[in-house]
This record gives sequence, structure tokens and C-alpha cells, in this order.
Amino acid sequence: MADQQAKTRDEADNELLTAYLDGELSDTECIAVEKRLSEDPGFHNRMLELQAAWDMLDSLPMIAKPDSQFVRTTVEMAITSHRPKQSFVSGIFFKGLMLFLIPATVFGISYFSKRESIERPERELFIDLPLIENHERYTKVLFDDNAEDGIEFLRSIYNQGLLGEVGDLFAVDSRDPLEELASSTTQSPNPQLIKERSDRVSRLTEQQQAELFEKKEKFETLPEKKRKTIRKFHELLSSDPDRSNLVEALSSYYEWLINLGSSQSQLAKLLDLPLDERLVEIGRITRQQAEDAFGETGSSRLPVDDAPSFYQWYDFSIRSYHHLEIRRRTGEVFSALQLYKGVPVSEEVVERIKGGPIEQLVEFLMQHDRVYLGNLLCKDSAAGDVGIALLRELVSSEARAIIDQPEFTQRDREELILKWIEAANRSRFAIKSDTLRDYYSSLTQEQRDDLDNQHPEDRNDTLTRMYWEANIGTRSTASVEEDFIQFLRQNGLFDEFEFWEDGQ
Amino acid sequence: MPDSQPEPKSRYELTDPDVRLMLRVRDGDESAFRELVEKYQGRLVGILTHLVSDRETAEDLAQDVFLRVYRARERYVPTAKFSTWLFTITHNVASNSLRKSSRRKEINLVSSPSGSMPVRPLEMMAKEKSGLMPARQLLNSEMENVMMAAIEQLGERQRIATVLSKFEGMSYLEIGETMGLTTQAVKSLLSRARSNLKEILKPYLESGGLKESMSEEMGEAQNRKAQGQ
Repeated sequence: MADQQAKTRDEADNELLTAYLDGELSDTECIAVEKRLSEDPGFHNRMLELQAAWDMLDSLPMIAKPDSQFVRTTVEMAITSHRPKQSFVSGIFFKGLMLFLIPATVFGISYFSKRESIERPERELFIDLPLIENHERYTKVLFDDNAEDGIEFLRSIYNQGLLGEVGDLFAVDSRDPLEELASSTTQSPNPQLIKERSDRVSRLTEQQQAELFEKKEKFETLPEKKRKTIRKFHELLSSDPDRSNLVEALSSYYEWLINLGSSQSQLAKLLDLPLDERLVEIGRITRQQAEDAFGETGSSRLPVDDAPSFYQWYDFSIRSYHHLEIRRRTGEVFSALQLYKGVPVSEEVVERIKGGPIEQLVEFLMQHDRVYLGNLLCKDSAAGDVGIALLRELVSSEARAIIDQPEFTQRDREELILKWIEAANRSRFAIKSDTLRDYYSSLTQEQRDDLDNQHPEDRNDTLTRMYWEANIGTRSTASVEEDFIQFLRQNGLFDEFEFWEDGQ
Repeated sequence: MPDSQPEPKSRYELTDPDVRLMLRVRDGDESAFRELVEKYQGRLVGILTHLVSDRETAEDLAQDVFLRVYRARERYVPTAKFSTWLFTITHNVASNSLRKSSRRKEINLVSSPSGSMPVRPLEMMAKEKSGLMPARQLLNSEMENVMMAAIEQLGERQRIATVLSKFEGMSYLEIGETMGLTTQAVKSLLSRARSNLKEILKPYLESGGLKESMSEEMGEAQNRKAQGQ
């Protein structure tokens, strides 16, 4: 009791001194503290210690402002990712078209109407316009100032159909972008075509014109060597017999890159990779994107009312049925990864990993051994007491119809379940807004205040998470287990379950 | 009485130029957004670097904060100073990141081949350094490492409150608004943070090395000042 009081006194003193040092006391309080400081050496020493520890924070390094790229990239990311979505193909079409239209048109305009009168700076602008307009695209495909490798890279992108996988998931524009592009790349553009295009380009907004001049300034600040490479790349691209395909690949790639939504550092890493590795990485990312897009299609969303049953199934599968196998496999995969990286494998570490929280091991396998995990969780046993067979029993006919879509292969089905698991792990199942509102009303004032202080998007996430934790998410609560056992009993599965438990 | 009157401007709109900028962002002015990013990038990256102890991650998180601001622009209603709103989002983003990284650390015991924890306990660093190195050397780059490790040992909320107080010079009221706490709660939080820092840094404070070095440094500074005068 005395200790408790002493502790409380200490805490009160610390609070008082901290507020004093932070200048948060009223004049009267300050005078009282200062009086005590002059009379009580212990109190005074405590103040010095608190101040010394605080002052030591000054030795933390000064943080320099980010470089100029930061503002540009951030603004571009924000604005491009929130513009109304164009269809993927029409986006490519537009970018591809602009890639050649603007230079051709300006060339036409300069040729027909300004040939005699343009001043030197303007002439330079027109001569270099294709480069000015496109240098940002071009630099994204250049490797160490090697123009030939850039062309090779585009050819590989096109030949391997690397970006088609994502494009197929979007609405397809019926126009053929190649037809227009191919005709626009002829060496001698016909006046009629230039006229049509100049009409379209003349509709550029003031802002687009301003952007063009901004690009010019950027281009001029590039090192001479870089500009030479860009020029050479442009010549190679323009004269390549396969140019329309390469232009399409360039447009797709650039469109894809700026919409990737990756952080600056991730993008920089991707662009630093040598040609072959970059192609492999693009393949990996596009496959992932295809899977994600698949997971987001409306028809594969788990009906809200089925979420609790799905959670129970998932819980049962990973905690009670497959947990040993998940731990064993995690150990194997982890060791293999370490060996692959050339890092010695410590048995002790592997054992610690295997003993970690089961959800984290599932996440680990989700990332590193996805096919295996999907197969493990979805595989039916002979008794039908686990796997997709059990899940079918638990969920509604609506959810069953989603699982058993006729065009699904077993792998599609496994991927669907993995997506649902990821959603479950993130606790982001959609919950009816009425349900959430009721739940919000049931919270304490303090909890509601905490929520209301959050950013609206975080607030919703937090509220959803809290709801899940309160209703289902606390997955070890007795009530959920009892419900589940009752379910097993009702469905004649309990004996199997019990038998298995005894066998541990 | 006219049926409709122009909506009165909120006091924040009148007093805070950044609120006015944000309102322009809300109305579709992209250049205003650029201005806000330019203005706050340094502070945000500074705060986040202190919070997550990694510059690259801090820049990624700062970018995330700005993207959230932009995403929320259409719903923006000025109910606080712009900086308070921005730092509230920063607080949320940093909290999420700290939670994720602490979860990763649990499983990532792994990243070191020897199986050791990625962050060495401060006591160990103190023992290694205080006995073997001249105290003065501690005041340079080693001290930075020590302090980064110390701040990492604070709880998430204490760490955030400390950074906002120490490096942003925010009052308890402003910290409270940012973190969704009462002023009294901020007072307790910062008091515990200071006490914890004092405990964490005890090996340095008690070894005498730091104190001696600090007094030496201060003495030298005073001498320099005196000579200058």
C-alpha cells in the first residue's frame, strides 16, 4: 500500500515537473514548483534528470528535406490515381497516339505555317519536341544509357505479352490503336492527316500546354549524355520495322508503371533492375495484379452474412486441423529461402519461427508458398470434415454458387478461398452499415471519442475491426467455440473432431 | 429575411491559410495540393523518420499521408487547423506502420543469421560503449544510435507524443487534438515518456561519461563564447 502511494506520488511529481519543463503550468503552479525546487534537493535532482534525458533527444540526427522528386512524384501519384478511370486500352490508345501525334502535328504546323518565321528557341523546341514530349517515358525503358537495350526491353514486353494479362481484365476498347499509330509514324506525314491531328492537338488546354513547357525545361536539365541516349533511342524506335508494336508496348508499360501505385522506393528498385530481372519482376507483379483484380470482381465477394461461418471454417482449418502441417511447411519454406539467399539456417531460429502465431505462418505461406497453402486448406478429406466440402456445408447457397462457379478450375477455387482468407485476416469484410451503426451506439463514450478523432477512412476500418473482434474476431472465445462444437454435433462431425483432438 | 445566406466561414478558414489551401484542393485546384506537399513534406518526413527510424519508410509513409489527404479532399470540412488534421492522419499512418512492424519483428526474428534480435538492447550497447570508448566519442554518431534505440523502446503512443512535443513544439492541447486525447492524458503520456527515457538512458546518465562529457562540452562552449567576446 505504502509502495503504491509512493509510486503515485512519484508519478504525480513527474507529471508536475514534465508540465513545468514543457511550459504547460499556470503562473501560480509555476511559482509553487519553483518554490519546492529551491527547498527540496530530491525534487530538484529529479527535474534535472528528466530534463537531461529530454535534452539527449537533441542528439538525434537532423532530418533533411526530401529531394525535389518527392513533391513531383507525390502530386503525380495523387492526381493520376484519382482521375476518373479511362479504360485500359483507350488509355494506351491515347498515350500512344499522343506519343506520335504531338511531334507530327507540331512538325506539320511548323512546316506549313511557321517555316519562315520561327525564332531559334522555338525551332529548337519543334526539332526536339518528340524527345521533350516523351523523354520521361523513354527514360523508364533505358538501361544505363543503353538505347539498344531499351528497344530490346520493349520487344520482350510485347513478345511475351507481359502487360496483356492485366489489360485483359479491363474493358476493351473496340478501336484498334495500332492502325492509327502505324500510319502516324510514316516518315512523310500527309498534310491532310496532319491537319486532322493539328485540329485535335489545338484543343489542348492551357494546362496541357503549360505541362509541355515544363517537360521542355526538364529535358534541358538532363545531362548531355542522357539526352544523346534518348535521341538515339527515339531514332531506333522510329525506324524500327516493328515500331507500332514497340510503341504499343511503351505506352502500355508507361501507363502500367504510373498506375502501379508503388512507393517511390519500390519503383526505383524496379527501374534499377537489369533487363532480364526487370522482365521477370514485371511478370510477377502483373500476375499478382491479375489475381487481385480477380479477387475484386463483384461475383467473387463473400456475402456478408457468410463471413462468420467462413471465419469459423478458417479458424478450424488452421488452428485445429492443419496447424501442424502449416508449422512444418513454414519451417521448410523458410529454410529453403534462407539457403537460396545464401544465409546459413539456424535450427533454433527455424523452431522459433515454426512456433510463432499461426496467422502469421499462414501469411508467410500466403506470400511464399501460395499454391501449396491453397491446396492444403481446400483439399477435402475422405470424410468431408475439412476443406471445401466442409465450407460448402457452412455457407449459404449464394456463397456456394460463388465457390462452385462452373468455369472455375480447382486452382481458381483455391485462389478465391485464399483471397477470402486474406480479407478475413485483414478483418475487412463488408458489414451492413446499420449493423455498424448499432454497434457504434453500443460503445462507451470514450471508445466513440477515440473513433471520432480518427480520419474518416481509418475510423471505418477501426470500427469494422472492433466489430469483428467483439463479435467474431476474438476467435478463441468460448461462445464461438461452443457454437462451432454445436454445429459439429448437429452435422454429425463432432466424433471425427473429437477423435482427431484425442490423437494429438 | 432572405431564404439563403452564404455559409459563414469557419474560424479555421479565416485564421489558417493552410485550411484555405486545402479548401482550394477540395475545389479541384491541383496547384494548391502541390503547395501543401511542398510546405509540409520536410516536417512530415522528419516526424516519421523519428517515429519509424528509417528514412526510406518515412518517405513512403509521408507519401501515403499526402495521398490520403488528397483522397479525402471532397469530404474535407475544416474543423481544426490544417496541420492538426494532417498530423492526425500522420499519427494514424505511423501507428499502423509501427504495429505492422512490431508484428513483423515477432516473425522476423529470422532476418539475422545468428538468430539475434534485430535491435540490440540498449543496456548492451551502453555496456559495450561506456567501458570501451572515450565518453566524448559517444556524443557523436554513437549518441545518435543510442537515442534512436531509446526512442524505439518507448511505447507507440509515447513515442508519437514525444516527437510531436519535442520536434514539432506542439502544446499539450495540440497533441491532444492530433492524437484524440484529453490534455490531461497528454500530460500523463509525456510524463511517462520522459520518465521512461530517463530510465532507458540511465546507463549513460549514470556512467558519468555523458554527464562529464556534457559538462566538458558546455565548459568548452562557454570558453569559446568567452574568447569570442
